[in-house]
Amino acid sequence: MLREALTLIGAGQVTGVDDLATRLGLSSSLAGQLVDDLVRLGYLQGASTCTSTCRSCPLSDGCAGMSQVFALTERGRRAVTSP
Amino acid sequence: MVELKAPARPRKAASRPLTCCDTTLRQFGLPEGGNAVTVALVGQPNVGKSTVFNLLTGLHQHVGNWPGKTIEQKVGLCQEEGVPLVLVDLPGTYSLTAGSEEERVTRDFIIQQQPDVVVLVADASNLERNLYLLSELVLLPPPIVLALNMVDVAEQNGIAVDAEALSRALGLSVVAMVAAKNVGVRDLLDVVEQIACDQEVYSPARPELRPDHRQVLDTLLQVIEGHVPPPYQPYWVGVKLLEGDREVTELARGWLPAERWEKVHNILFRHEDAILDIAGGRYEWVAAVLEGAQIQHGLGQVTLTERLDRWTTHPIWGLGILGAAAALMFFLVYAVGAPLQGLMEDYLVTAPAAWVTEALQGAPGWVVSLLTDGIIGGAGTMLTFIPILAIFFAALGFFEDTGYMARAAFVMDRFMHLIGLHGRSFLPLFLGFGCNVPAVMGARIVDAPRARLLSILLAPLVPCTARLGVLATLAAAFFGPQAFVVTLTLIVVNLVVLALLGVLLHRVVLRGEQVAFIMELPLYHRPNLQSIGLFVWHHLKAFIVRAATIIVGASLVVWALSNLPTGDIGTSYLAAFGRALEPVGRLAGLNWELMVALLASFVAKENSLAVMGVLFGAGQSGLGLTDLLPTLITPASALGFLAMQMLFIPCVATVAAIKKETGSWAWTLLDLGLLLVVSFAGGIIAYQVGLLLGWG
Repeated sequence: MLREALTLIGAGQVTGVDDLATRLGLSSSLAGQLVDDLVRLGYLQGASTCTSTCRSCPLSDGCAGMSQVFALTERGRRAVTSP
Repeated sequence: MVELKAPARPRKAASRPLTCCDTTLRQFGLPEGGNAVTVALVGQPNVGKSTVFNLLTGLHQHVGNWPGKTIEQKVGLCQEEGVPLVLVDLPGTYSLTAGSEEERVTRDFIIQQQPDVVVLVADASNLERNLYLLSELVLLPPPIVLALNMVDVAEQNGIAVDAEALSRALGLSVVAMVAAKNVGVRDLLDVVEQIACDQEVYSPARPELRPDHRQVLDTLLQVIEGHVPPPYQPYWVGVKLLEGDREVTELARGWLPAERWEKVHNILFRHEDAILDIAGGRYEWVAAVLEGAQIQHGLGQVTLTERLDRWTTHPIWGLGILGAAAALMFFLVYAVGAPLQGLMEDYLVTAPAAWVTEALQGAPGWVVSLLTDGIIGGAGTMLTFIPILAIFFAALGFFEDTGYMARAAFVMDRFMHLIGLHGRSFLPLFLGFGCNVPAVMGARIVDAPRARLLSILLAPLVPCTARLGVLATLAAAFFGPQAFVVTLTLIVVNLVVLALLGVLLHRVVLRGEQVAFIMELPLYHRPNLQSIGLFVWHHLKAFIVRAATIIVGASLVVWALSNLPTGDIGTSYLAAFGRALEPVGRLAGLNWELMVALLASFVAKENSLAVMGVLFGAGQSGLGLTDLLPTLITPASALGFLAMQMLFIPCVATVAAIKKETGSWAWTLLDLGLLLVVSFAGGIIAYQVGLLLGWG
């Protein structure tokens, strides 16, 4: 399931934790923990939250600085491509 | 729908030796070597674990810290008929990965102390995440009982849990309960006792490994065979090695001969991504168990929690509601608590001091001063805070027990993260406006250790009523109509410094803690008065013990410094210290008298005014202190003094609380050092600003 999550995140196919939860058939809470696990294990890294780029984003009021963007680390990319 | 009440079974005699240690037995007055069942309570935060613990143990509890940790340890006795149960309330944790102190304490206790039974208290309305913790617990030897708590809340939210089906799917006992209403607790006791006393084979369903990883694990187990010392289990060690668990890896490196470790290292290197499948397997196991337990979610149902959360977690209304809740709490604290504090001051400080003075009329002055100023003035004053603390902790307990605390933390989280704190730090820090001691102690409600430490270190920068009192008195004397602007500016500067220091400590000293990605918002539920009562009692007891020990000691030391060797503060060691610091004080416009007044505020902030009165001879001059001071000190010096006073190290009671709560002299001294630097810098800047404004 963690590989599946990594693949979905790496391919940019999920828009958030709720979306990831729906695709994996988990609750949002458990999907959040799954993402935490992937970060802790070094497969995902949190990009800096709402930096200056966000100032021009029309949706920035909605996220109010609370959003967090995640990206695959090198280890994450290797895990997705390995069998 | 679950059946909540089952007929109580007759208690059994133990058919196997039970394992409670003699130290614990002695703690509760039980005979050494006697039989007692050790029960570990495990669970996530906010699942009602403490409610279950309080219900079962009542006042038969011992609260302390885990050895070498700052995490609270609660042990209690449940003795009705049959075998006594010694309950250990383990810290709330989401998993057993040893990533946090709470996880390490829980994991180490279960492995090393091997309790007779582990009770996993789970929130029936959020079962998935609770089952993830179970997926790790079932790999350890002690038998587990799943206490399915809050089934009523789950049902209200359209979630029906089939406890029997869940029990079959898990292969272990499941007890449905509503701890807040004392429903199902009797059944839990019976099941625990039955499992502890019987010798039934315990074989729960465990997460499966993928076949290829199973082979790898088998190879690994062959290599480590015979080298894993008890109480560790080779299978668990093997799985943790494959997971890349740092703690277990370090242990294994120490256990294994070099050539075997080399083999292990090679296996782990080739399968470094095995963790993805092992942890992934746990998530799949959870999904499969839930499918077997026929959990039904009410679709499209707008629950009470959702309706309330639309307001309480709203970016604007949520702040308003939090403001109202905090205002109500502080209204109660000060409208009800403050008059009670005044009353206690009369009975615990003024009356005893007068009685001692009267009774010791012929005794040397220093003896009377030691008793009245040192002991009664120090510890007695601290005890007068009890009403304020009782109301504060009752309010916190109420917020915690109803589920509102998590919402309060949620709406403040984004602001508090800016200075490296979590939302939960808001309420204790806010209380610091009243007194810094409860602010430091209140930081216990912050779960994350680093955020808790940061809250403690920053609490002294919240201006307490005593500091505000000194500020108000002196600002009015020096700045007349401009006093309000000066006062407000100094308070704002104080809070800005708090934020900046928070950022600094967060980025430099306390960096590295992962910010929580998802904040758990438990469902609202009716508070349990017994739980709130015990919450208040335990915190007050800790405070009273502290006041009677460390605070008395600290008060005596400061009393001695301000009285020895002559009994006159003007010629005391404290005054000598003040004179030695005068060259530094001059940079902020402070003469030695002001330096001594500043140092004397270490006893209590109000002492500054009293000491100024003595040193400037307010009584002899015939003028009041507020009339006399403007004739002796320039407004620029006064501004420097006030800025230093606001940012200066806190009173001795707060320092004692910081030491106790951090459990570390290093952190306490670092905090004091930082505050000294900040206060002197602030004083110098304020004095220079005063000179620029022509207040010299």
